[in-house]
Amino acid sequence: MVPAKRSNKWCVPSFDCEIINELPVKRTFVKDSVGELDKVLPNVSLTQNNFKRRKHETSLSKLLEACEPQKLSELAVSRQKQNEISNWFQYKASKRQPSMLVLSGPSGCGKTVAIKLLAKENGFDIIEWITPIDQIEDENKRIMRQGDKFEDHMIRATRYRTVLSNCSKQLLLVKDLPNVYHEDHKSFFMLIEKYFQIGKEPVIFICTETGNSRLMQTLFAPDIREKFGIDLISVNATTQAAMKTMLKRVSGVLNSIAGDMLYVSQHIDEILSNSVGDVRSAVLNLIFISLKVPERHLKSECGLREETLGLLHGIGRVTNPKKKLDGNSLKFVHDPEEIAAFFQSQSVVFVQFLQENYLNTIRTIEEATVASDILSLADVLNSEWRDRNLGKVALSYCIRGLMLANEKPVTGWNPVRKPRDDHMNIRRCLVTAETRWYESIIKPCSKKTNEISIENKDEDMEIIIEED
Amino acid sequence: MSLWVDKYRPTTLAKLDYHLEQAEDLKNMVQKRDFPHLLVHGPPGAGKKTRILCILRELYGSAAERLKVENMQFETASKKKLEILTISSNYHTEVNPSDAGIHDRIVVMELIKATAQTHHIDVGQKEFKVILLSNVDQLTRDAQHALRRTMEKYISTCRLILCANSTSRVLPAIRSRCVRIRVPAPTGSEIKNILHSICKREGLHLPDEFANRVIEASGRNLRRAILMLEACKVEQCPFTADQKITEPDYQVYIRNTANMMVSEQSPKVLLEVRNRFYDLLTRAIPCDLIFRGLLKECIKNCDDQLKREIIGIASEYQHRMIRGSKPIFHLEAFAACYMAIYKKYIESSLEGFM
Amino acid sequence: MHAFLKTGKLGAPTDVKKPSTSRAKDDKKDLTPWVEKYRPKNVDDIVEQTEVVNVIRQAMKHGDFPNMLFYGPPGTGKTSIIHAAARQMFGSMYKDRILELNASDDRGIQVVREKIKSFALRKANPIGPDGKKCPPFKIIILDEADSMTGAAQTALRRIMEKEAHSTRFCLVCNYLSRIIKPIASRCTKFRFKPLSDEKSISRLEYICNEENLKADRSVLEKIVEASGGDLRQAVMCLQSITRLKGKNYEITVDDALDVIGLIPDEKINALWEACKKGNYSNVETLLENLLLEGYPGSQVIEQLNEKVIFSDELSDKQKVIIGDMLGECDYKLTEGSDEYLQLLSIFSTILIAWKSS
Repeated sequence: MVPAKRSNKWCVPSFDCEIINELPVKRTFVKDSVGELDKVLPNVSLTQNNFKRRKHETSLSKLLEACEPQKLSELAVSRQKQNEISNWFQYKASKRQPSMLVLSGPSGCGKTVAIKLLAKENGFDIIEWITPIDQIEDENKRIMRQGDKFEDHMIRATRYRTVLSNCSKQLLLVKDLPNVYHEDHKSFFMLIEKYFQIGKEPVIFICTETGNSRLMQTLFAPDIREKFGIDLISVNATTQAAMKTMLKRVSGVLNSIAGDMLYVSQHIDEILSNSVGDVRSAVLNLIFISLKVPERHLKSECGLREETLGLLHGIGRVTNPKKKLDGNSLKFVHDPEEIAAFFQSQSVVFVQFLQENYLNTIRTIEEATVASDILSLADVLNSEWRDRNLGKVALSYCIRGLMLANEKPVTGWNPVRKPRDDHMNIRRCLVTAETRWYESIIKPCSKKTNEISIENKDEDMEIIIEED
Repeated sequence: MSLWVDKYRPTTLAKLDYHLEQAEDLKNMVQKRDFPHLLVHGPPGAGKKTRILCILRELYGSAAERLKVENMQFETASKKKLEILTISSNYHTEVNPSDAGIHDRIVVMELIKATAQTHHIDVGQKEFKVILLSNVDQLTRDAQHALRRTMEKYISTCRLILCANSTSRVLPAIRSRCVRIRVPAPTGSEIKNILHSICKREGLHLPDEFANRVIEASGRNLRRAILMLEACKVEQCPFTADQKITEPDYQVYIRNTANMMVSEQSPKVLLEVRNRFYDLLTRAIPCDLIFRGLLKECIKNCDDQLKREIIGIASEYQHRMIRGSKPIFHLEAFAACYMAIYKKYIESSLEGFM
Repeated sequence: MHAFLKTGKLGAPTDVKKPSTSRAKDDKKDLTPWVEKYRPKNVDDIVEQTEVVNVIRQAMKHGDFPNMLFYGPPGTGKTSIIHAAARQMFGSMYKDRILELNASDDRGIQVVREKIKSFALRKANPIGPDGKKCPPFKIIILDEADSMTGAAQTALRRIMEKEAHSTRFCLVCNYLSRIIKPIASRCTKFRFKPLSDEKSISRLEYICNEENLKADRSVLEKIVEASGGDLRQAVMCLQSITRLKGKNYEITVDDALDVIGLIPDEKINALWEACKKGNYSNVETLLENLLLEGYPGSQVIEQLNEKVIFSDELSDKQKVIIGDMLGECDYKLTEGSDEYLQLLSIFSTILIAWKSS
């Protein structure tokens, strides 16, 4: 084994965030001061010394915090939704009666920030529930169940005021529900009932819509909301335009506080085309991508880092292959091999995206035949789980095949579409399909929903790629 | 009120309407002490399930009809919990193991073990219980092998009745361990008799010509015929000879999709066709059915050589669909391929014309 | 596939709790599968396979065996011969001296290591409990050895060598090519021929006689023909018929066909003729009806194959085209494709093949 002392030396952190040779005593001091400073960032001016120190210590999350909007006008949530929330604060929450709001929307669209800002605006103090990780003991040293603790919090937290704030009104914010309620719906409903009997302060639940969490369907189903009079405001994903203004603002902020670490401006467009309505990840990407890398690294190992290629760009390059004249033969501008190498880890998703989008740029049915045959075979290869390499083969085959098949791509403006869920989880059984259909005729009153009108529940997300 | 299909389902072997000789055989077999494993197969709507229920009733008497519906829990090796709907009486358990998808092996094994080990004292004259597995042909290979092993192990305490549409996909090893009962689809006249008797009991008059048309449209599928009849009753009663027969909307939809492909061949149409496939898929229509429906419509006005070509690609892509995981890819590939072939055919025949 | 046609292990249900009246005893006798009931008890009873029987008889005289590897089509008496020989040699010790494993038991490498090893290590006394002399070795029968994994077979090799002094191995399989070379070279190989129809029929006749069944010779011929030299399948078929029809029943050809799952020739012929005439819509309706009758697609392919191979009307080239398609579709069917589509594809190929002549 290498002695510990040496091991410190060879693992030089790549971001230069931590000073290794610092004496322990000194380090604790520094940390404390930084912790304090971060709270008041960025309004408080820093002493020269501390500022310098801070720059070295700034972690990504700190930078991210600094990017949070400070004014209503900076919010990524649309004006109209802001008004809705504001109205709720004014008309519902201020009545000193139990009231409940569910705020739903895709991740990273700025729900929490909006609530925090608007609450401040309307003079509310936020008490946030954070699910504890450790076991909690009550006064008799018995271990409390998380659900009980949560219930306790919901009903009683607002009884006591903090001395620190001068707001007169309080509000409870719940971002992550204790896991018990995901399974045990009944006890959650009992809790709501109890809250509406004895609770005082308004409660806001923030529900992030992700694929596997079905809170909106289970815990806050429409009939439940109706029963208790729970309000629902759903926030849409951030629009491209809002994202752009936001990124511009953020880049300004970043430049001012961490200018010597980051090159910001040049990456904005790239980030913009890759974000899918998620502000948080866009900002994170921005910070990460624009981190300054010391010169010596840049030359060799890290040279490739500039080559980030978004999924959507990749799709664009394949569905719309560009050729250039090289000598007297045509060559692809973008090497299929490179694209394939880039998306190796997400072969299945990439092929799905290709399938959804390839038809837009294809001119003749013959080319479509070749392309669809390639995709069909790629799907078979991808489903073969016995050989893990087949995924790569399928991807490479698919990318090359589609690029070759499409001889004269249709130029024009083609939004890249998200692949649709083709409902594989439904059991396909002729007997059930048939019986159900006839039943709907025979007993029309009981089943009205079986009309041919097929709603496409998930609105297709359209993302625009400029022709590059 | 239950549907006619359930209401007029015969409950004993003696009351069956057709395949009388086979019913006699089954009765013979039930009365013997060495009741074997059964593999009941036949096309959909031929009366497999009815016969199985009759056998159960014959074995255990009316107690086999007291059913309770339960959700059984299974745990996979990766600790994932599965819930499967089972219908059971004191003497038998019915389950559709393919509901569990790729975890069907666990369901099959656990279920048989659980049933075989809880031995009933008051089973009465029979010392075994029956497990009824439906859609055996959709079980994975893995599950079928497991089934074979457990079949032998627990033969003293339980018997299996397997129900499948076709035995092609059932392992030969399982086939050979069962007595195979083939249930052919009823003939037109048999269906007609049943329709007439239902109408009589409902107090309706059924014009002969109308009955013929229903039978024609049902494709010798008794269940479909009865459902159609009941649907027609709702729409127009009393029946008239020239009444419209309501076809399932998806059949019309598939047909229209095929017609789109015939009338124009371009990537734009392909895109529309794709959307229609999505529509069908969201409504849980079996993909096999879509393929068959499309093919039937597509090859209507082709010559034999072309037909053979199109059937060839259909069988190829249908096979790929089974092996792959996204039906839409393969449906689309078939549509595209068909359109290209058809376009070429039309163009060449036009050239010949000029 | 016939490797799996094994119900020998089904075993008689053992749970007869009824008072031991003669009726119950009768029942129990009834419950034994005929395949077990009529298994030859004596090496001399083995039908056909004269060379193998001679060699085994010689070996028994000397009271020793080599390791043996039996291969050949299913239902030709491979397992029966080794059981019969063991029974004759060991007499009452028969049960203790034999370990039989078949593919139904989990037979990974672990089992080879543990079960086989522990059995091989057991001592075999040269003198039986009754004081009679008894050959001092045990026999391990590995049924369906060709479905063992390669790793398990390799593990077996060491054990075979180490325990050579007290244990004889008898491997039974259908395909010699699936046994790894080192194992094959350590065994004396015996090939089993398919039984001749004549011998099979006489065996079935014997069973019919014992069980009081009435069956015409033509019916038995049909059963034997359908089972393709597989005596076990033929016997099982006979038993299935009695299960359905009861005893004292004159078995007809139709019953036999139904139980075996054969499609009546006239249905296949009708389709064949329609293809020959080149009438597509006719083919389509006939095929639809065939499937509605509930005949399995794989069976259609099998019977068509026979027909194509022995057809005099087709040229070799046509046979190739059709045979190719048959193979492909059979594969797709076992993978779970739609029967209608696959069969349609076969028949349309045949139709075109006829036209091209």
